[in-house]
Amino acid sequence: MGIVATSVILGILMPLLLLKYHIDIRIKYNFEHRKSTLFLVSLFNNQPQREKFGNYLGNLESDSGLTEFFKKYGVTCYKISLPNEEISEGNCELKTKITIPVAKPFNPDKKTESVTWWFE
Amino acid sequence: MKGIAPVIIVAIIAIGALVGWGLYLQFGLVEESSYERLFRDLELVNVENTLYIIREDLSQALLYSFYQAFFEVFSNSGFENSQNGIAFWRDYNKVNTPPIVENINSRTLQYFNEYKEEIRDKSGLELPPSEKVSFNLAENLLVINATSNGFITTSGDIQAKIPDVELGTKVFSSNFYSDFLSFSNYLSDEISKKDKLKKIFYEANESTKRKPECNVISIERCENENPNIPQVPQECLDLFKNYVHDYLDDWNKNLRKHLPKTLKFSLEIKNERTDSRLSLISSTDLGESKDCGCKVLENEECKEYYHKYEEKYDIEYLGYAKLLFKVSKASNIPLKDALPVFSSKDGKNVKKFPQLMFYIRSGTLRAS
Repeated sequence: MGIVATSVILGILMPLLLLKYHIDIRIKYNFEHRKSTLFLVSLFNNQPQREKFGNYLGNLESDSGLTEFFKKYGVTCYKISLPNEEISEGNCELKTKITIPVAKPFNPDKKTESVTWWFE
Repeated sequence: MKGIAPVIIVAIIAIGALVGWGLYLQFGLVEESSYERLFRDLELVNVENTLYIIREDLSQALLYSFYQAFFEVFSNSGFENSQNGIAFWRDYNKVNTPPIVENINSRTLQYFNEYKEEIRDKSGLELPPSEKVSFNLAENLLVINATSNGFITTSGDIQAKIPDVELGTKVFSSNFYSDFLSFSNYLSDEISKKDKLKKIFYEANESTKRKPECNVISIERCENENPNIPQVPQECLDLFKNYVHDYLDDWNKNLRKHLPKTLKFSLEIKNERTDSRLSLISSTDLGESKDCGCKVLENEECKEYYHKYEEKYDIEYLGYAKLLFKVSKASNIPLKDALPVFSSKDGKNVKKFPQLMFYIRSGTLRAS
């Protein structure tokens, strides 16, 4: 009986529990990842803030406005790598990374800057 | 007991297989596929977000393209390319009113496609060039659409695409842009359809001539005298000048009535000339006149005196002016409407209010 019970636990219940664990991890990671990039999508969707950041890249604004923006969304940990500087907040493991060419005010030589966004 | 042995053997094999299967699931298949799916999911999210973000970024690029086109075209007196100084919208009968909206439109499209090219090169996405940019005014808002027939497509393992049709639709919250364009179009009509400045000189001429002494000049002349063209009285020339200024002021006031509150407008007379032209309209023979001296002298007796004539001259007043028009943004509007543009004069990005400047030169007198 003991052998049968052990076999059932090892053979059926354990894999099922493990499967659930993996699914949970997947959902959690997926959710976290979506949540992180959602802020970025929100930023690009917010025209005044997006323009403020673009103008900052074109040296027409002294403040990128990002700290304020992300705070509003409750994002406390991020890093943004610009060509010549880094804007960062918080101390955490940055797992999500997206690199996007961001449009800045017209310049005949260079119209975009490649910006890398890191999130928790 | 003999009969149970095969059952036990089968049960042991079954249990062994079950345990083996469980271990395989536990350490192999589930973990592997689970992580594989996780990374695949994350990649999909990345692709989806990248496409979405790039689309929004293009929308901003369209806005920057429009700002630059708007600024440049207005700096070029409404023309697409530089006119080497401030251009003439009217030079006497030669009308050269630029199609401002079309010029901004084609330049916006050109710059937007340059943005697209750079974004395509840096992101690795397939971005078809846009074929058309259109502006629509709706309730004091300017809506810009850029259209193409292609798709924004990702490269790499996950192939995804979103339509590029009507990409970058943008709505301005300020009515400044539409005001600027509509007033410029109004000015363009005022100047190209009606030669208003020339009309002003004609009207001033008519008004001055209502005063009899400024309408016709009468002189008496003896037939033996050289024709002596009379002088137009200075007060008549001054009167004409005053009329011209009054009518220019009226025009200025009328233009201001059509001016939206967000704009500032000025009309400046750069150089002005007025003159007069006389034409003989009648010459009446008043008969012989002793005042004119003797024409035929016989035996020291004058048989015939020179005739005296009364000559009447019509006065025509002529004028010419070069006017500089300046349309700019009103200073009391918040700074947010200064456009982030590249100024070739400054060699860098700056925030500037666009200013439209152009000349008209017209009148009844051709300037030398």
